[in-house]
Amino acid sequence: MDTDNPGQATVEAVTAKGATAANNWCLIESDPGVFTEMISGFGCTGAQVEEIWSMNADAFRHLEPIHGLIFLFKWLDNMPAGRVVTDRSDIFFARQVVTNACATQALICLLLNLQHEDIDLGPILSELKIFCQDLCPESRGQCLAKEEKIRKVHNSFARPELFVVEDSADSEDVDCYHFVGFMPIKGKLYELDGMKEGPIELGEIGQQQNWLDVVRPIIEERMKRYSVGEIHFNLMALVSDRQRCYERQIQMLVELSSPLSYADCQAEIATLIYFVKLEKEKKRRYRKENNRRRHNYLPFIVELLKQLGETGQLMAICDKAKDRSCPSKSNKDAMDQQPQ
Amino acid sequence: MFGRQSGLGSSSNSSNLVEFRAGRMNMVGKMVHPDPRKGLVYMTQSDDGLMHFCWKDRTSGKVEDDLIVFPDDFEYKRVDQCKTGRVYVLKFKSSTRRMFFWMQEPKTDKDDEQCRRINELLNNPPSAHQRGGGGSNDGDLQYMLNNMSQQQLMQLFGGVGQMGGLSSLLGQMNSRTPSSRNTSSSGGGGASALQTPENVSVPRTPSAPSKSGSTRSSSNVNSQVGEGAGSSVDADAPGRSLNIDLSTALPGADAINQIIADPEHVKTLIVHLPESEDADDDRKQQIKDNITSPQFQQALAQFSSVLQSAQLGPVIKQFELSNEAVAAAFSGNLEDFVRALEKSLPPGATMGGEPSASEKKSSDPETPTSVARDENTDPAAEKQEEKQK
Repeated sequence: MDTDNPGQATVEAVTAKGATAANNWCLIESDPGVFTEMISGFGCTGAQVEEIWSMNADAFRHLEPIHGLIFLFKWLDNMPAGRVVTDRSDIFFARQVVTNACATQALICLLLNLQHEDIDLGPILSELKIFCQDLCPESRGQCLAKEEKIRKVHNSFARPELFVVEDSADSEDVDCYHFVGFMPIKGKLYELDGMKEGPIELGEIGQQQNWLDVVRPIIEERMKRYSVGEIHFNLMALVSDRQRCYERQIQMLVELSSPLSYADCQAEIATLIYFVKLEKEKKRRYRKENNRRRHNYLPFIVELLKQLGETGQLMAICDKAKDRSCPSKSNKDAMDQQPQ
Repeated sequence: MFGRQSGLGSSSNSSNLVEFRAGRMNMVGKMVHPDPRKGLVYMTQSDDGLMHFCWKDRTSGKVEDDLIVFPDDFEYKRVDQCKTGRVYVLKFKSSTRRMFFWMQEPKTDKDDEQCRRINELLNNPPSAHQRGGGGSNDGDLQYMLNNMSQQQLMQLFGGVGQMGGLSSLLGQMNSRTPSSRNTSSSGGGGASALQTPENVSVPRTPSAPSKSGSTRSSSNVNSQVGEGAGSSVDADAPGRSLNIDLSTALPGADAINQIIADPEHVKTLIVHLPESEDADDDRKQQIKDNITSPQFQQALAQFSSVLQSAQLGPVIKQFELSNEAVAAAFSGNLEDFVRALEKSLPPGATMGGEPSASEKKSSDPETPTSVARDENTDPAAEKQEEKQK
């Protein structure tokens, strides 16, 4: 036991116990920084996850090509919006088996259906794809759930728990979150929902058509429907690594293999260099955030509270927190007020 | 089954419309803890026609909860998560507030019935006429309605949308299909077919997708009902969900700036932070950035809640804090814990950093007495110490 860091040992013991229990996938945050790093943790290169706030074409033109969309919402649609396909083993589809892994599973489903020059699946995902090729969706789901390497990477983004939470309570809450993927596969638009029997065919994509134009009305309709019910949702896009894209463009401009004038080239290069800088900062921020997610803050908290106590400032903070947490004494007020 | 109704309009206990033995549970952050006292849940109608949902301590006779309940404001259902006990929750529809109870009736056979009866009374109170023993047709109909199951009522009124309040009640109960398995709570098996997306509302704040990293707000029921772990935190009787969350006040407090103005403080704090990529990142800024980060705030919120659920005792013990602080952690009292930390050093002493607080105590001739006094919880002494601050 590390005597300098007593809290750490206890937390590790607790977390390890949780993680080695059969098929224990931890709850992770649905954040583009988490997903982006997780993908590279799987050994996949060239991909990135970005959050999207609107389906307006202009909003994400700069992110294209968009390989797939992930829609996260707190509702389960019982009615498939199209034909459920059960006869295409060339589409990678896995039934959702583990609740806490639903985001990871949605992401992997998208990745394993991709055939794009920008993205290299890497050995772990490539092997999984080959291994699962001839299996049915249920078995694929089981395979995925048992895939140690993937589970380890997924769990590495979980927050260290100070205590073990009742399993059933966990799944009760997480049951409510649902991830579905949308992507074009061989000229058709599909919805990949692990809770359904198979991929759902939503429509045809014309030869010259941008698949986003086909999926947009579908997603907008759902966003509208969920807004009415005040159901929270998130939309994320699986895109090619932005930094690489910009650097490639710079390369082309530097080699003067573009129709633009010299001056325009320079201006464009400057803009792209700035974009690259932004991407690097973003990645740096993701790393910081993920480090903080994984970090056990207990020793820091205790030390900080100790110092605040010793300088006589802790009680005031506690009182302020108490005011903010305490519902008022009158029953009516208590009913109106949200404790959190 | 139909409850006892007195035609005299009195508000004595014998006129309770429903009553059963049940204990309270206190919600502390995410955890819910059973209050071991013997209690009684009952509903009654006052002379002005208002319905009251009450809980009383059977030993002291004191009525500790008396809520006026209006139709469609509440829902009472079984908590399925808790496999080992018979736990029910009174949900406030207009807020995320919850009140939990555990059944103390020796036999379980009437549990479902009691639950159904509560819901009926919550949402279809008897009209004032009836209590006078009136024989009007309205009274009879009302009486009959009060005593039908949800399913029977739906059949009578023809489905969703036709009985506003009732359908929204059912919509609420089915908002988490297919994961919701609570068909027993209202006695109606056919309820799930009535769910439509429009009836869904999300009572909880979603935590997973938001960047601000809000803490999960679901209540995790301590499955060891009846083993009465820890004391309940609330000092105020109606404030049942009292949970002090330090993360609502600590980040951004001026006190932080004062702390890190001292380089010794910085030195001691920085070792507990995640490594920074840049070697020359300003350490003070690092500390501040961490404190204001959503990840830290979540951790602090969790810390507050876990401490108040009396589970942090063994962990806190390893941190060389005063015995008082450890005791407070074991009993789940955050305010005591805070007080203990404020008493660690005699006022005016500077922080050396290296010796632990408890070591300092034994070497300081003044403090053993104060420790002894505190451990005896001498209220006069405590008041004195408070004045010194």
